Parts: sequence; C-alpha cells; structure tokens
Amino acid sequence: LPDKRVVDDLTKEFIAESQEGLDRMERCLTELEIRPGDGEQLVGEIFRAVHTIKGTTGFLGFDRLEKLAHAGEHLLGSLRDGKLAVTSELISGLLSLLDRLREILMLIEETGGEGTRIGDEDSELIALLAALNGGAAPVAGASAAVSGPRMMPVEASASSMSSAASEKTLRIDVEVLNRMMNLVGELVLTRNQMLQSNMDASNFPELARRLDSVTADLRESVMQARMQPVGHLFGKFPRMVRDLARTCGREVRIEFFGQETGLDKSLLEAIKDPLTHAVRNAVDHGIEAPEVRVMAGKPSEGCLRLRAFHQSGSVVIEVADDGAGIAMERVLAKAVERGLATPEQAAEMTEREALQLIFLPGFSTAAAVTTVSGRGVGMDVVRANVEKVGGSVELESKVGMGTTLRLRVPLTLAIVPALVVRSGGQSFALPQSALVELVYVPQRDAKTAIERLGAAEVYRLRERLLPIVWLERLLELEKRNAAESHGFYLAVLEAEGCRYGLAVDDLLAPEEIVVKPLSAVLREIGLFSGATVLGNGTLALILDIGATAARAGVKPVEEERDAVEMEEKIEQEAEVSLLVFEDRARERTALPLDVVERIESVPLTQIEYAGGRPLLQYRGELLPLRDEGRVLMELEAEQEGGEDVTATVLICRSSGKGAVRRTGMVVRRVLDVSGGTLLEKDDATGELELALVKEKLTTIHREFDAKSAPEWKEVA
Amino acid sequence: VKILGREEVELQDEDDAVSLCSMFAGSESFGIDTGKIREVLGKRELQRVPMAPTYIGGVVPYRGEVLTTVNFRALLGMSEYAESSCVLVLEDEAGGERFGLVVDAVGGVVTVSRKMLEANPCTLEAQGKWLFDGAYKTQTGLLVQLDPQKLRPSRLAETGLFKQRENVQKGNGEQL
Repeated sequence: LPDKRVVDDLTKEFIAESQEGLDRMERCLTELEIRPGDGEQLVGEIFRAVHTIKGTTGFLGFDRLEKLAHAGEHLLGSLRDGKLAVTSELISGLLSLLDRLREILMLIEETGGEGTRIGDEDSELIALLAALNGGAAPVAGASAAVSGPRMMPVEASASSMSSAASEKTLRIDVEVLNRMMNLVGELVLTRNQMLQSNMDASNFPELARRLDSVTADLRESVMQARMQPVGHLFGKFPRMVRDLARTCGREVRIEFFGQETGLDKSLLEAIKDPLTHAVRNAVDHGIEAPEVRVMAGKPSEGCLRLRAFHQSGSVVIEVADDGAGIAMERVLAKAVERGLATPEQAAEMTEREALQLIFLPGFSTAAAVTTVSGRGVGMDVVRANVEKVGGSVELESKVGMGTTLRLRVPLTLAIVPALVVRSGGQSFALPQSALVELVYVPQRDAKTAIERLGAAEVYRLRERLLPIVWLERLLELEKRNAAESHGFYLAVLEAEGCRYGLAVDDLLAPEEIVVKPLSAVLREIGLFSGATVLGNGTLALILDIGATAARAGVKPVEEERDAVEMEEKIEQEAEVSLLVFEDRARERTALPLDVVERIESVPLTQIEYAGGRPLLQYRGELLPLRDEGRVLMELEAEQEGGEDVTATVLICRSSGKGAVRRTGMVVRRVLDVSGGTLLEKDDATGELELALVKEKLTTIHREFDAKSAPEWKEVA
Repeated sequence: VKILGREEVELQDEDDAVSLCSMFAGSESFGIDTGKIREVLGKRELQRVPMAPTYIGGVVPYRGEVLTTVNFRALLGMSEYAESSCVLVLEDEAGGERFGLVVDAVGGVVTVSRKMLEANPCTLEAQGKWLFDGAYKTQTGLLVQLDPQKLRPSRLAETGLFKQRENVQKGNGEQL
C-alpha cells in the first residue's frame, strides 16, 4: 500500500513533535511547582503541549492518547481559567499523565500501535485527573474491552536523536554548492592578489571592488542554499486536511499556489506550527458542514487555498477558505463574555478592531468544543510564533464569503533591518520590526517633555502617556554630558504587547545588519539578542526589545490598548492631521498629512520651465510644480545674489481615476505637523476652507483631500 | 662516551622543553602554552558589553564571529589598563568554546624546561589558585603559567570566585 509510508512519516513526525512538547511540559511543570506565582505563561505552555497531542492523535487514530490528553487538557483548562490552585498533588498528577503519555509514545514508535489493552489502567489515571479537577470529569468514552500484550518499557534515546538530526540537516542543490565553491575559489584568488599588491598599488581599488562583488555573490548563494521551497511545508497538509475533514464531517478541497517560493530553513521551521493551526482552524471553524453550504447556495465542497508569494522583501503565506466567515456579533459577544472587552467598547468597535480580538489569549468562537480545536489556543499562539521571527499576522473575513489569514514573514532571519542608535558612547541596534516611530526631543524641551508620575517617567505622545526607559540608565552606562546638549531621541518600541519609549542620545543610520550569536555568558545578561558588525567595522549589540521592556518593568497593555486606540480614533475623526507650511507671506497654509509623500529640498537650478510652467524631474517622473506664493521668483532673485539656493518642495499625491498623480508644491518653509479642527463654512470664511491649528487660522488646500479619501478606504 | 652523553642531555632537554607565549598584566608576566593559543590578534578596540560581569573585557569581531573576551587585569583585581590592550584568541581542546583573553601586552615565545615548573604556593588565595597553574623559575623572574581551560568565560561564571571581586572593584570605581 502506498499510503502506509505516509502514515509512518506522519506518525514519526507526530512522535518527535509530541516528545518535544512533553519535554517542554516537564520543564514547565517543575518550574510551576517552584514558582506558582507567575504560572500563567507556564500553564499556557503546558496546555499547548497537551492540546497539540490531543489535536493530532484525533486523526491519527490513537484513542488511548487522545482520551488521556483530553482529560489532561480539561484539567489544565480549569487551571488556566484560575479555577484551581497549583498544589503538589496537582503537579504530581500532571507529571504522571506526562509519564503515561511518554510511555505510549515510545510504544507507538516501537510497535506502531499504542498497545491494545484492557483499557482500565488509563481510566484510573483519568479518574485521578478528574478528581483533581473537582469531579468535573469529561465523559469517559465507551470502554471497549480489548485484551492485548502488556506494555513494555522502551528506551527513548534513539528517537530523540533522530528527530534532532533531521532538523539540523539540509538538502542543497549541487549546483548551488558548486557555485559556492567557485566563489570561494575566486575569493581566495582575490585575497592572494591583495596580499601581493600593497595599498598604494594602482590595481588595489579594482581588487577591492572585486572582493566586494565576490562577497556579495557568496552571501547571496549561501542564502539561497538556506532557502527551502514552501512546498515542503505544504506537503503534509493534504492528508491532514482529509482526515480533519472526515472527523469534522466536512468536504474540503485543498489547493496550493506558489509552492516553489523559497523561505529560509529556520523560518520554515518556525511557521510550521502556526500554519498547521491556521489550516486546522480553517477546516474546523471556517468551512461549514456540506448541508449548510448547499443551503447558502455554495457547492457542498469547501475550498481551502494555500498561497505563498513574495511581497516587498517578505514572504506572505495565505490560508484562505470560502467558508462562513467570521460573524462580527459573535466575536464581540464572545469577547464580552470572556471579559476581553466591555459591552460599551464592543459596541463601538470597527470590524477591523473586532477581528483583532481573535488574537487575544483565551479567545475562541467555536460554539462547541471539538476534539480538533476550539479550546482557545490557536490564534494567540499563531500570532506569538509568527511575531517571534519578526513576522506579522493579518486576518480578513467576509461573512458568508470566507476568511483569509495572512502570515507575513521576513525572507531570512540572518539579516534584519535595524536602526543603530547611540547611548552612553556605545552603539546599539534596534530591530526595525519593533520600531513604531521616532520622536526627537530638543534640548530646550527636554526638561518639560518628560513628566514624572511617582518614580516613573512618561512622555505625552499624542495625549497618551508613554513610559520612558533610559537606555544608559538601564544598562548603567556612563552619562555623557556632551551628548545631552542637543537633546535626545525617543524610539517608540512595541514588542510582546509592551509599548514604551526608549530614550537614546543619538540616532545613526538604519542598516541591514547580519546577526551574530553571543556566547553563553553574554546571553545570560538577557538584554541582547546578538551582536553585529556595522558598516564602519565596529561592533554593536542588538537589543532584545521584549527583554528590555521586561527588565525596565514595562507591562503589556493589550487590553487597555484597545480602549485607548478607540479613543484615539474618535479624536482623529474630529481632528485632521495637517502639515502646516508657509507659502504666501504672513499666511499659514496646510495640507492633510496623508497627501504629502515627502518633503524635498531641491536646488533651484534643478527646477526647469516648459511653457512658462515650472517642472521638476523627480525619480523618473515629471512633476508639475505649484507655486502659489510666488516663492520661486523670490528665490531666483536670491540666487542672482550669487548664493546656492534650494527650494522646499512638498511631493503631494493625488489619486485620480486609476493612476496616482504627483504634484510638487513649492513652499517658503514647513512649520509644523499638527492636528486641527476644520471650521464650518459661513459668511466669514467665504469660499476658503479654514481650520484652527493650535488656535491659529490656517487655510487648507482641499483638492487633494477629497481624492485621497477613497483610496484610504480601499486599503482599510 | 662523552658525545653519547651530550646527546642524551640534549634529548632530555627537548622532551622537557615547553614553549610558552609570554604576556604581561601589570608588572607580572604570565605564560600560556603556544599550542593552546589559536591566534594573537594584537591591539584591538573592544566593544564593551553593559551589564556583563566585570571580568568580561567586551566583544571583538573575529573571523565572522563575535568573540567574547576575558579581561585578565579584572580577574587579578587590577584597575583598567590605560592604553589599548592586546587580545589573544584561545580555544578549548574540543574546539567548542572560543574566547579572547585581554592582556596589556604580548611578549615573545619563551622556551622553558618542565623541570623549572613549581606548583602554586599553599598561601595563594582561592582566585589565584584557580587562575594560576604553577610558575616557571626563569632567570629573569617567575613566569606564571595559565591554563586556558580555566579562563573560559563560562567556567569563570560557574566558579563564582570572581563575583566578589566585582563588587570590590565597583566600590573602588565609585570612590575614584
């Protein structure tokens, strides 16, 4: 039978996975006993391990494991909801569950079956777990009495070795390897030539250039060697979906696109679990039962589409189903029921915000708890795992049409975009993925900008208090007085649900950094995730954003944040963000901020004229320039005085029918970015659109605004 | 008979001879078996690691890796060296952990006879006993032998012998 091998592969993978999970569980259990205080995360971890086993055994047909895991999960569920306290009896009960699960796994590995047996030895353990759970036992399955050989203890060492080996090896195209070898040869040749010639030699610059190109090529081919087609990951889904569909009573067809899309090996490993979760969710919750589908006028067979493609430097993996979609009312009702949002909050939530609720821990919309999924693990784990590797998750859903989940992951882990900052005379790299925005606080504002709330320092960022962490104080660096003279920068960072401002002395250039691991002693400090060699040859430590937050005592503000974000939204509706500038003398003019793409300083000599109208060649485009304040004439007069004059041009985007058009606007100077309130039109304002920005009268250019609005809506 | 005798003596000497790379920290000189040294990097700018134990000298790029260095002066409880220091790259026998040792200067290779080695004196304090592996009595003075295995950052962290010294140093630093 050709199917037999597939089952074997699946089972092997399941055993390796489960054993890893159980190892983790053991660690967490022992830790939980020592520190029951901060158990939330640990219980979550244990729960996940057991849940994964339960989910997988269901369709692999290991009843014994499933029953045990189900009982364990039930107990852990109560523990997670805070209905039970951590006692040593509870821990030992869970440990004996763990031992039993391990025994059965070993047996499966050895014999291929879980040891058909009388079936009451497990029921004793299940009863124990139920008793620990305060008698709220799950209904024990009909005990079919099966007799069989006694279980034998088996050594587990061999299996864990083999599973570790498969993760450490990699299949490489021989051609890629040959190319690497060639490049290494060339590298050696170039080195030899460099050693023979000296710095002053005429061919030295050329050698340096060659070295540069060879290294770049070599880096690229090494990266390529690490790339694995996403198809490897997709390979296991057809079988899984088929079995899942059978268990859930669904008819599902699975389709793949872009299987050849390459992704770094380590990333592929990292998104394996989230993707499995997503597929499982789609089949169990997304696609409706056949009769429901027919009633809704859809074919009885549901379609699950897995798509992988490149998009602006990252790889997107899409899991799309044509199922029932996510009903907003149910999400909101559930969120209120689970205490994740208040009824008032829920009533005011937009569709997008409501969908975000699904990613909160402890959320599940499944009406019934099934063996496959629906215990509330899933989406929060999916998001956590993807974010761990610097990716993001998006969810899109239309009721009756289906749901699309998008996992966006970087191409590779080894090279990450980062911002290099300086503090206390040292350079540190901050991963761009955690960076939300940058705020410059000039020296004259430094005293007033930071306010104190007890011992905590906060900064008002758009009327929200942002906790401040001083990098030099946190790291006990020496204070530099010289650096203080020009103020400081706040890097607003967000990681693991924490948002805070990291105060640093200076910003250096953003760089693509190559991450190098640190030695064990330095990893133990717990604040640095690695180091990197910067362009100038010096080393910089890479700051672990999440750990830094934890060290500084910044707590996640997930639930609060929704409320705050909502408030912000409301504010934003009344207010418009405006870029305020001066074009006509003595007059303040403003443009809606989302219209302005860039602010450019252009030498006056680059502005050309055609038919009496000023034009600017800008990134291969010809921009018509608007000069309502006759700024250009004034500047030209200045230039005749012999100076090199630059004009400030706002690059504005106006999306006409179909195409995006850009216009340049010549201004005297840019004043501010600020929120403003539009004034209602009346006799006093006449035809002008006026707004109050910081209590000053400002004219608004409206032409751009109206046209840009529909585009924004589309994106949202 | 005479010639034979002389040859014997020379052979003995070769068997006995140990090449040590000499290095200096403060006024004292130390030696490490040249076979255990991977590379002498010479004077390097070290990137400090905040919050690291004081005996960590910082990190330095080395062949595509980030090398953690141990500051030998800090281990001895001496104040920091004013000038830029020398870095040696050491590796344990299994090739597992590679690390750097920061000293004031590296001297030449000295060949000494094993016979001249004498064990640590019993009065040496615990830290010294950990760091030193006996001393060679050379004509110019004592050359203290170091065992790279014991200088590995992870081992230093394990012993906990150098934690106290940290505090002492910090106290000194604040006073200064």
